[in-house]
Amino acid sequence: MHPAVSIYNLRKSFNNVPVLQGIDLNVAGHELTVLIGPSGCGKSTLLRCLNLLEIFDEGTIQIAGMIMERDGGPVSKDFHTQARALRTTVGMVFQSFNLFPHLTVLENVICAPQVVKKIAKEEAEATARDLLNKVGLGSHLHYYPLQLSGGQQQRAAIARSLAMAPKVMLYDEPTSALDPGLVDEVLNVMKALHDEGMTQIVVTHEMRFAREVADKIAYVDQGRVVEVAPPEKMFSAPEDERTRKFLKKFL
Amino acid sequence: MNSSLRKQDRRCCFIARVKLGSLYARGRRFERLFARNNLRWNFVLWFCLALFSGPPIVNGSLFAQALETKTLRWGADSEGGAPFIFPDPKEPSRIIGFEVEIVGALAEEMSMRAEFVQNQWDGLIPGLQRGNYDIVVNGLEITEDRKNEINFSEPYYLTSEQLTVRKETYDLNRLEDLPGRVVGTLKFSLAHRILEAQGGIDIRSYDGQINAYEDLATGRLDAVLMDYPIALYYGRPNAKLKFAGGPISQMAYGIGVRKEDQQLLQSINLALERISQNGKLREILERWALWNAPMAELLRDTSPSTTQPAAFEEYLRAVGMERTWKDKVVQYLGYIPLLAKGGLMTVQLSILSMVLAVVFGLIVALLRLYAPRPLRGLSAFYVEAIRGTPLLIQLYLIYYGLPNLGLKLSPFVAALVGLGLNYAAYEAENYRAGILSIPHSQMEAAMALGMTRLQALRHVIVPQAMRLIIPPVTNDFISLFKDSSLVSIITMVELTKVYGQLASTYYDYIGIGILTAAMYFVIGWPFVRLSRYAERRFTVDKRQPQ
Repeated sequence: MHPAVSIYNLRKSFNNVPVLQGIDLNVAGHELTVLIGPSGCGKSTLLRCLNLLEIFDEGTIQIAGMIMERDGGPVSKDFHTQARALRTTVGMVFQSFNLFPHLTVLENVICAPQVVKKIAKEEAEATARDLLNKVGLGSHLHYYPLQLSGGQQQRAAIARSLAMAPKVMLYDEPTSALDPGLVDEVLNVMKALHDEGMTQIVVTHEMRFAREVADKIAYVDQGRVVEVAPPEKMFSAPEDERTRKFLKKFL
Repeated sequence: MNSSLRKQDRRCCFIARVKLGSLYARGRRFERLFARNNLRWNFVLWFCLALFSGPPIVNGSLFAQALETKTLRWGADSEGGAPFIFPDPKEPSRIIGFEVEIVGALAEEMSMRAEFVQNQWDGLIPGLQRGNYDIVVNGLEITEDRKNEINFSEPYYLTSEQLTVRKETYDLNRLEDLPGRVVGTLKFSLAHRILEAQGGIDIRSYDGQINAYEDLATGRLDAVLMDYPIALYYGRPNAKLKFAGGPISQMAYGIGVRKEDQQLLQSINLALERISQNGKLREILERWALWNAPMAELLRDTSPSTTQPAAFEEYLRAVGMERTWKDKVVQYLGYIPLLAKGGLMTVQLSILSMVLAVVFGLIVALLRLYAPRPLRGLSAFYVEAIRGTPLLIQLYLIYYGLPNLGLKLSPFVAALVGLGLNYAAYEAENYRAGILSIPHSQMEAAMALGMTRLQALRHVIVPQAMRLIIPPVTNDFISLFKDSSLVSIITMVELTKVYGQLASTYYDYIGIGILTAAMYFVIGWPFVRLSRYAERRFTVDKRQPQ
């Protein structure tokens, strides 16, 4: 199958400290891929590069039908325009939810479709209601974010991303800020999306979730993808020594 | 008549007057004549001009405009007080005074309509040069340094300085008695320079005559030296005070005219000559009890007086009246319409300036936060320059300075722009603080949804920042509302100016002061309430977990 996301030789430095040192990764369509690795290995940066919240220095990203290429030169205006277009089709969910606190849950969800896609309010609201029902917040449309629990907020944030009808969803440690009891309600939403065939890339430390839901697991270390494998192989017989060492801590 | 014809017509009239060396009145007749046959006359005149006078010396001055419109715009400060120009105690919306009457008489001679233009006394000469009015008549002494700036007519009044002391003082009668004593006078006045020249005197400078005489009566001063007319109207009516010694020095009040308005100066002098000859000037001065020996000598008229000082006596009755408190209530109620008018101006000005400040401030803040480097630097400079300099200076620069660069704003627009741009700097900092307090992750979340930076600002960042800055902004509005009192220096008549005018007329700074303060409070109170409401309404309390 043609990969939905394809990353080749991706490099990124912060103040001359290399963080991504030539990432190569292919993600097949409709699959859920989990990125694991030790803190500071670059997995979050990789995710942020995928929707251009960080602009990578070198390499090629092919995602949601677009190709972004850089060779280390200055960033052109054109690149920024393309990056913005890319973000409209690549959803991003943050560790700290980042809902807009001045808007209700419903308003949070309809905001971007209205502003970016110029969709009429009624239409945007109808879509938003469906999405919020789907993530189990149908009865909380008019709550403000701070009136919700962390799990509810994260589900609202997922609905907000879905409202833009993305082709790929990215999750940056979506459950790390949640009380343990609230983790599952978020993971269940992602699982449901997986069942619907959404292409998803998830940075997480939830190994149980990775084992149960992921199609592929990629182990990232020191700015490189060390190993990619289906969960059963990854957890039973990882090939690389570093992967084995890392996973040992979780088992 | 279309405007270009009008303009040519005006020129022709002007040239005709020059050519014929005509008197002003004759000029008016020609003007009317030309207006009727202007095309033919234009041709003839331009032809004559080409023959006799080489390049046309056409004067496009404001005076030419004044002739055209037949108004004699004269500038003065009605806060200066009696007997010059002051609100009629019986009907405060009307201004009276011996100078009002002199200008009226002059205008009549010149077949023009006198139009009074209010202007702060300190700024009378800049205002004249700026073209706010065509002449200044307001106790302006003819001095050498003023002559460098403007032309003066022949004097319309000669007077001297008068020393006033307390009833029980007997040892202060001459300038030479004053060293070592505390003497009050007005700022920037001739009396001030005389006292300085004497040396060794502890001089106290006042903005208004009333406070000086009040301080003399209460013993804070040993003597007051001021122009005789002021002393007559403010010093002598006070039962605790008396005049001491004779006239000191001599000075002449002249009518100020712009250097380039030679024609106007001639017309004024001519009209002045007429009212001197026909007794009108003397009658006016006698009505105000101002006729004196130097004037008799100047006008060569030593005949005995025939006119009663009716205006002076009426003034004494009005200010000296013992009033019951009922009278006072009625009197104060009478001030309210005038104060309300000033208050309305204050409100209009404050609201419009604040709108300007809020809108422009947002632009400045956004530039400072997000624009490319040069623009960012510029807006930072703007904020610092405005916050680092006094509003008073900014208002002066806008009103009196900009005309030099060809930008002449009306007093209202100048006040609006001055206050608006000043507060924009403060509002910009409010916005900036508000925007910076919104976590960066909000911008990221918005951009991750595909918004442009501008869309993110408009729909996500600014609405959140707004809630934070509403309390400081409404606060600023209340202080702008009070700062608007500064614009009286650029001739705006708002609440504080009305207060000054009334207080100096009625010799009453306390009662009218309290009334004015109450007025500010009453007008400002709804805004204070509004700010409280906004604070409650927009706090994020209700968005906290319940």
